[in-house]
Amino acid sequence: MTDIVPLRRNVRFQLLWIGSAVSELGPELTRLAMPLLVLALTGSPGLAGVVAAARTVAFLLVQIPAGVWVDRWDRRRTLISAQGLQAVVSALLAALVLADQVQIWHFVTLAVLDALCAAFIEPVVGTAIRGIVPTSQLHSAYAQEESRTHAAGLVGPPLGGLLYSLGRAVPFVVDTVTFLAAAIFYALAKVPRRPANRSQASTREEQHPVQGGMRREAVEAVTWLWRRRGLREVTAAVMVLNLLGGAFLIPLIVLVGERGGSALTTGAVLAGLGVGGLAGALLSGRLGKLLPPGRLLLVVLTVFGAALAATALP
Amino acid sequence: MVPLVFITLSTPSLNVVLNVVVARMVPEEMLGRMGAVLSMGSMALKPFGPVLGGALAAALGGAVALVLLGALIGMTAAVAALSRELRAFTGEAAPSEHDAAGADAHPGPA
Repeated sequence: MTDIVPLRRNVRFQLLWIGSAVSELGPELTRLAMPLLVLALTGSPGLAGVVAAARTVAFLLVQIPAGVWVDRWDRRRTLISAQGLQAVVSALLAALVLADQVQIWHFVTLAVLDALCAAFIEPVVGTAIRGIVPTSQLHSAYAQEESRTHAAGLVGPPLGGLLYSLGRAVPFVVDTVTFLAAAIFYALAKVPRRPANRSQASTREEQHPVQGGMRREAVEAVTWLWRRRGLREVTAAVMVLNLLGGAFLIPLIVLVGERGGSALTTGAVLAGLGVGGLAGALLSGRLGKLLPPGRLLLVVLTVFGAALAATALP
Repeated sequence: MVPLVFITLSTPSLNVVLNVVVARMVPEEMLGRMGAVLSMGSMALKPFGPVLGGALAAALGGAVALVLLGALIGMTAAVAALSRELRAFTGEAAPSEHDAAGADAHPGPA
């Protein structure tokens, strides 16, 4: 069993990848179409914001319990059920839009249900890769994952806008189809059901009240991370980078304006960032191997800081 | 705008490497929770980025805000570089210590 199949011919990984690529494209299609439709129906940009916010809040609230359940339950069944349910939720929305019966509370309720499904799907897909890709190929596998995210983010919203212009129910119908297709690909990928050394833990589980067990199991993960010197520092630095890195977009947009650029210039710059991100993702398989992770982090932080400051130079 | 190319080209590599590190180091029966915890950590901070950026741009203008953000990230790099564990971090724990930790974290004879 020592032969390692090249990643390209690892059928289970490729099926998993296609499934998550397809299922990721769906929400990117409705990301633009949803606010457009809410706006068209209610005339209120505020309500469009409420729908998006409801989804985010629901996702944040359920994320940790969902992570715990993913570690307790049969992961394959969890994934396929959640993806199937997400398809049903999306089909309901599409049907309501088609029938011209859709109301704002439908959007909010279905957005919350959609978030609940997503909170289960994401951690299973994350854990499944480790189960079906040999350790030596994890790097290439995650590089391929990274390209999927960037490509979906780049193609999805404009495509969603295009589909919306064909008919306002179209993006929602396509969304449903992508979720159904994803559920099928996930079923074919035969995602691992549970970790190999899980049996002792699951017998233990029955002796504890579910509520306390839930908190304890979540705390276990945080404690594990806290005790891992190195990984802990890396995680902290990345969180700071996430915060500061997420801050540059508005000053950048302001800067383009200050220099007399039009909205079109701003759009071109943002599109350039998207294309650059995809190029970065495609290169990540090679670039990521140049340095050990700790040093790579230091280099990326330095480059990020220097590049932001340099952008402001005349 | 040209320097931004360096950001978009380098940051995805960091994402990939960190995902690999997590997948390698974290015990498999804890991966679901760890994914949730890490994603929570990044999502909880996410809304504050644009708020911070917007406030800085409003107060100081776009150019100064960008230089300041760049300097803050540069300082993060400097502080991170002070940690020997981080500089030496390879993301490959010795397998034996690893399994022991995985087993430790689970059964709970308190």
